[in-house]
Amino acid sequence: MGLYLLPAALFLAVLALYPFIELIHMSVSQVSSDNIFGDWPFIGTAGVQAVAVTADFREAAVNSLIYVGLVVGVGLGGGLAAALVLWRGGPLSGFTLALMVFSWALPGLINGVDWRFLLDPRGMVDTILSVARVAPVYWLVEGRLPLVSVALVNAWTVVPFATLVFRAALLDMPGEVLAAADVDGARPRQTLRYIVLPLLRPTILVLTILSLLYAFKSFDFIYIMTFGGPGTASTTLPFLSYRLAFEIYKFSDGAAVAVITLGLTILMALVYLRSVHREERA
Amino acid sequence: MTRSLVARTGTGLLILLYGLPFVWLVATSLKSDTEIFSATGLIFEPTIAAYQTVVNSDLLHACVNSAIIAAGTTLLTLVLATPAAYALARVKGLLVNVGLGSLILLQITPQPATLIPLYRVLGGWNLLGTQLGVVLADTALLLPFCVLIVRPFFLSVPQEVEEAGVVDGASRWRVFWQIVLPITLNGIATGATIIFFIAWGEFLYAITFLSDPAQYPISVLIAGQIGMYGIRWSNMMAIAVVASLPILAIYAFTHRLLRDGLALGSVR
Repeated sequence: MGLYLLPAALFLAVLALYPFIELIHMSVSQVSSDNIFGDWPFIGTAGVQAVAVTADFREAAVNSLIYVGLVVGVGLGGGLAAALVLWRGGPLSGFTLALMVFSWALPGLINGVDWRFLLDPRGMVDTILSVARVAPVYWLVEGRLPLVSVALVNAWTVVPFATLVFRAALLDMPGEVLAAADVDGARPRQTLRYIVLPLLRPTILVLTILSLLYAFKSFDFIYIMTFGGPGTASTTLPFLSYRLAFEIYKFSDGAAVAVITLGLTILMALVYLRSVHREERA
Repeated sequence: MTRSLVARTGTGLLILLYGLPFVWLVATSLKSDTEIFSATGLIFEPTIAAYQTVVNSDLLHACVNSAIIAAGTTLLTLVLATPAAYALARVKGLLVNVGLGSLILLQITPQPATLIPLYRVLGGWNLLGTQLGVVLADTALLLPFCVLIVRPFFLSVPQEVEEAGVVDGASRWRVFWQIVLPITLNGIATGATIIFFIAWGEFLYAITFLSDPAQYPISVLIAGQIGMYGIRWSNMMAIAVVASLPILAIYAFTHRLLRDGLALGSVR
């Protein structure tokens, strides 16, 4: 079986694992545009420690938490609601599902461009609001709105995926249990609360982890819709890492932020798994 | 409210929420600049002026570039990922855990963090400024994901099917090639579709590693113009519509596959 693994392992060793090790190497070195092609002096964790106390880092960390929270919360909540609406079939549900999954399948680039215009003061959202005589909202400009807007657009593309997974889990559910609840006269809300949700628990767990890991590294939507701005208002950790390296050429600072981001991502996933585990034993 | 009323209202809302943005995208691409500024919504006089401006030989050339990069990435990723996913579904023990763990670690690394090291690797091989270089980078980005998508399909093949083949004297390779692969074709097609879509929209590697505009894929045309001052939205939306068409065409054939395959891939 080793032979089946070898090509992929060799390829990844050179083009993924080596870059990954170089990233860590860069984060413990002093690298700027002067010596990017020369020697990298070793500075240990000093760089990581220095970058972690900057105001930019703290802002980006807070932004990342808000971003991840919105993508996971809205993505899963919306997906569950959509799956409950669609899973029993009906004339339009197949079409609706296909329409939703199409927006998941489109690259973030195209969804990002589309929504950048839809959220423009001349775009769809403000035009609809103007019918209700609401003054134009500058979604991608004002205060925390840009961060929230981009996160919600990203969540909009996560919802269809979550819907598919929840739908599959609902279809797998033992029909007799639901039928029994019906016979016992349970209201739909009670069936949902006491039967459906507990059965969906493993699915919710897996989806939470997947969307958490995905949201933490999300980059495309921010690049296309706000480029981290205005100023740093929508700069999350992966985007801060990009800006440090490619706007001001502090390569090692960028690498340090990337490494901290990875550490935080893994930590969040482990803390979540642990809390779930503890709850299960309690 | 009865259940069916809730379901109908919800379905209607979902259609609006997911249909209207695309309708608006197409509508904007059919507007004149004055009509965009006057915020006329969906009632306007359509014009194909934007398409006449943007659809030229350069754009078609960019589409060909996108097709080369996306198809090359899909092919290379599948060739590498399929046997690896099969092995990781059949072997047990430490190796599998280490393998899957590394794949997940690579999968959660933010893409921009790999730019500088990859730049050095590709530079060392004289592959900067070539589409092959972008294909290699895209494959490195998507290979872990592809293995993780395809592996559950191999897990769902019953061992007895393979044992029957082995008893009949077929080699391991023949069992894989002639028995297992045909059963798991759906899974491989699911992986191929997703990889093609992502590679089609990938812009960060392409914008960084390519330097000759004649080699740019359509994603770079979009990403390169989006931040520019005084952007012409009708033109931008027309390019976005053109870039979406190949995806729509493939999706028309594969959406059932994606609907069933994605759920399998993530739950196991």
